[in-house]
Amino acid sequence: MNKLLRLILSLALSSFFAIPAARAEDPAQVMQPRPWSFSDWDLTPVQAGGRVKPMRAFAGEVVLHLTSRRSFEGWNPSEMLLAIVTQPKEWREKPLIKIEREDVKRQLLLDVSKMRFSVAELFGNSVLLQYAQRMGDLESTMSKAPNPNADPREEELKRILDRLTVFHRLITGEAWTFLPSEPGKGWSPIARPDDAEPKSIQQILADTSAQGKIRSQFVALMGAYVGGNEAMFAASSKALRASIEEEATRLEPAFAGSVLPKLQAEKRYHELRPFHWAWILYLIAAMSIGIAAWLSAGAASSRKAKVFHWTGLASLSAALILHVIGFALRCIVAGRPPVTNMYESIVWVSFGAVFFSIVIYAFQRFRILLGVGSVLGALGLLAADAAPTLMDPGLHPLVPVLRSNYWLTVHVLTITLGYAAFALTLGIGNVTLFKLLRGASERSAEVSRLNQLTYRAMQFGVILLAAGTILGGVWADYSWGRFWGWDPKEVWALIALLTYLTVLHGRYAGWVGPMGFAAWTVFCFSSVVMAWYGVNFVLGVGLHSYGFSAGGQGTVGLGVLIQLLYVAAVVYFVRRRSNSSKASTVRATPASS
Amino acid sequence: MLARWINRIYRILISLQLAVVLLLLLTLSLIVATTLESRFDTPTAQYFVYKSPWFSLLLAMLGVNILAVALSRLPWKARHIPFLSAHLGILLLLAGSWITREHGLDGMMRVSEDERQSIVEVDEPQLILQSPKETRIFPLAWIPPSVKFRPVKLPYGLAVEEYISRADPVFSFDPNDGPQAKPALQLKFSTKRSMGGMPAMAASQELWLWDGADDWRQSDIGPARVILGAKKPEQPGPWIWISVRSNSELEFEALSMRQESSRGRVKISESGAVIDPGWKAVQIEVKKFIPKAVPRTEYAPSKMQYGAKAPPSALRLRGPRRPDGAPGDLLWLGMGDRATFELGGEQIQISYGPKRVMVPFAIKLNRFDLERYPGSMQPAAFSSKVTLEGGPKATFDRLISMNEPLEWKGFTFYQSSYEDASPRPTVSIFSVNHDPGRWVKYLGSLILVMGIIHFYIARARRSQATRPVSSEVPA
Repeated sequence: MNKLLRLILSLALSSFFAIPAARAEDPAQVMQPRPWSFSDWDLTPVQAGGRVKPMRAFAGEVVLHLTSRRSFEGWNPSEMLLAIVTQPKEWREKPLIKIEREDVKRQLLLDVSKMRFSVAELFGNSVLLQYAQRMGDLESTMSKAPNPNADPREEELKRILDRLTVFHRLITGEAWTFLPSEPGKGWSPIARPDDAEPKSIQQILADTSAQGKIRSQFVALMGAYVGGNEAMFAASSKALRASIEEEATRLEPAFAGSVLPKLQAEKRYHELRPFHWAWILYLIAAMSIGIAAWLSAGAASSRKAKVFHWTGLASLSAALILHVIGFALRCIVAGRPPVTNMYESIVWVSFGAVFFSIVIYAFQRFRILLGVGSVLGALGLLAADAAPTLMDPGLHPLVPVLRSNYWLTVHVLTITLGYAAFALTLGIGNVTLFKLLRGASERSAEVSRLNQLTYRAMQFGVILLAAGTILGGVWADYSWGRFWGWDPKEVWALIALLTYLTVLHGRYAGWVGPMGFAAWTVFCFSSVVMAWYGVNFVLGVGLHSYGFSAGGQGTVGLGVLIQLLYVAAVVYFVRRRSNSSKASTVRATPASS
Repeated sequence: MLARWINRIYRILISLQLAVVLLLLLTLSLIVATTLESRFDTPTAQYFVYKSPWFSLLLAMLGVNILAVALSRLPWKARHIPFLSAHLGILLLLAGSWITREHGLDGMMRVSEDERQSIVEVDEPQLILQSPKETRIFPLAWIPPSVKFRPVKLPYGLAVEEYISRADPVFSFDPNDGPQAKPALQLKFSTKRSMGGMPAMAASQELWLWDGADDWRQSDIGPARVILGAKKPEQPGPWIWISVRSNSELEFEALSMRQESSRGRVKISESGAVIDPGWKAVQIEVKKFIPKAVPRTEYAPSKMQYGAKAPPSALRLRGPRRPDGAPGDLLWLGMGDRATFELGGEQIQISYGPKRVMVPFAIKLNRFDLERYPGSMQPAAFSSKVTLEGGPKATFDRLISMNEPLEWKGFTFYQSSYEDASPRPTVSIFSVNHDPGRWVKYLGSLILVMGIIHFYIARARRSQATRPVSSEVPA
């Protein structure tokens, strides 16, 4: 019988934590978030996923994993974990776990109309039990991305089992790795399920070792939480945090200097949610700039237009500042440039697009650029913020080959800045198409100026993508032993380059006019989407496997399709209009001659 | 007439149309290749695209096109510099890649701790024929399962008649009177009913046991172990130990999960026999018993035809014609197998395996270290402490780690991976590389990037010079 099956069969939850839970006065009361300060609890160091992090970050990951949401029903994640371990019986009955796939629900004989299921319901599911038996031991999928080539139904079942395991480990105490150890060794959990008997309160309190102290402080903290004693909770959470920090520093003197500031930064990062507020501000900026442009296009430039313009500029600056702060905090916490997964690269690419639009604006004084930049910033960060289950926002340790800050910075930052420049060409290209659709002439000064900007941004993208790809080759030569190996990620970067080069050559030869250039620019961005997202989420083969994941194919595919249909529609309507006007000129000519 | 044709071809070669067509063809074939790689696997994509002749031709055409365009601008002027350097960069990149492909080495070296190794294995399967007089090598590149294999004729009347791209070994035993012949037994295990309400794990399973080699003497069926031979096992149950009494009788002893022992004798009849250790859930049937047998390995197409985990290829060889004129024997060779033929009193050895290259020194692995992220199983870094032994003056210790290769005499050793083992891995795998085209590619890259940047600056200057002075156009 394997470990997982044993776990599911052992439904007895009389654990370490049953002791404080038994002291709860009124269970119903604990099922509501408490209006307390959890700042010390949020900062309590815990080791998980290969590094020490503050409770706030750990709880955020666990809650996201369990519920597929960043926060569940208004609970602060760290408080929610505390509520779960102190009131396991009530939380087991709560519909926490989200199952989206209908075939999986049907396979498990669950109610298809429901989205969320309780732990108790799933623990008692005999089909799931059989599956667990077949699966054998499985490594945790938390913080591990699925492969797009794996059977999605199988992946979902694995994820359900994994979430049950995580819930179980919270309750048995195995998940709470609070007890520090010497450097290089893993911290120990507060309790293990194979500890034969749950220790009595007296035994725990009698243990005067450093570890015993941490244990008894945690018990006191749970007691205070469940008993509703705010002052005692504040005191015991402070004491718990202090003794973990003290013990960690005793065992690893560098801890106080190197890890503690990072914990502070990480907690601040989670509280601030910089990227969340940044996309809202970018959206406000985009709308204000848009309204200002619309107002000034109509009547003579009014004061209203000016107000909107300046509102737009102000919120754009605020958004950019937040964007930079968030990025900097992630740098501090991770100790590396944060560009190693989809979430981080979207954050960086949208920053690059905003940055480029502002730089070009500084030279060209063309206000549309700011609008385009804001839209790109808003879309990028919105996508990153809205799909935490698809793009893991967690900070995870890197696979060995990526652990070179120098190459990571040089190669990945360059290549993603290239994507950013192409994103800008996409934005400007779309604006050009919109102007043409609205009746602007292909030969108008405005369209040719937009074309010129697209061209410049595209050249910039080509430089960055070519340099980044070559630098990737140099890194690969240095760490894998070959410069170029036709790896899908490399190949798609090359395909993106080739498509843009084709368009540039076509423009040079005069084969594409202003509208054609804008249309091809927008079209070519699909190759960037494929190189950036598609290789990792759709193809899922090759040596860049550390970035692989699954999901979102429908949404991204639909986005690309809508974009391409828009291009086709604009070209069709503009062509038809110019044909009919040509026809009328032709008809008019003999009459006039 | 000829001059007109040359002129026409020259016009096509320097045309932008050709460049754009080639770029589009290249893009299209790359899209096809990555799709093949995702749908099937890397070797398939390499066979159909990257390593195919037409793909090389396409790249060569691109090179010719670029060269012709560059030459057409003769005599070159200063304003041509960005254009020329961008295109020269691409030419150098293509040339460098060609040099790497023709003269480079890209292989793997596997070393276990305290072992010395100087053989690099390259993923290029080949047949090696060795006679007392000569050694001849025949490359046999991998072919995807979907492609028909054309038989290959070899010297001495040998021929490769069949080829399986992804082959699994199939073992069987033949009666034999030779000195290596030992008893062989084919058993069939079937679960009678589900255990304790749980669904049965496996309906039935067949296996061979043979008393001629340790690997064959025992096998695991679920939690139980089956052992054939003279030595009684000393481990706790469940197990069944079978020994041979005569050509028609077996003896068995069994220890159950609850450590209850049982024993008995089984007479082998025409219709087989049943071994009954008194275990309720399982039934054991003797399907075949050969008192004197030798193993025979054949190959069959694997269920796993594609993917990184698919098994290697195997081929079927026709031996030399017999003295009486009858066709030679057929013989299977899996990757890494070898066989010997006798022809006119000479021993001819034939082996099938990856290409092996000797480096003129040895690598000794002193210790392999794997560091994991604290509190998790995720590897954080791994490295190998090695001694490079290249004669008295060139022997030194080094550490090879990820992103820190070892370079010696034009060969570079990269820490590539390791074989995972418990309690700790002790086998390190290096990627070994020799690349005479490297500097050409690096130079090409540098010139290319400088060229594009120069393009950008020159264009900016020109457009600034020609742009009419205009006031700001507000959006």
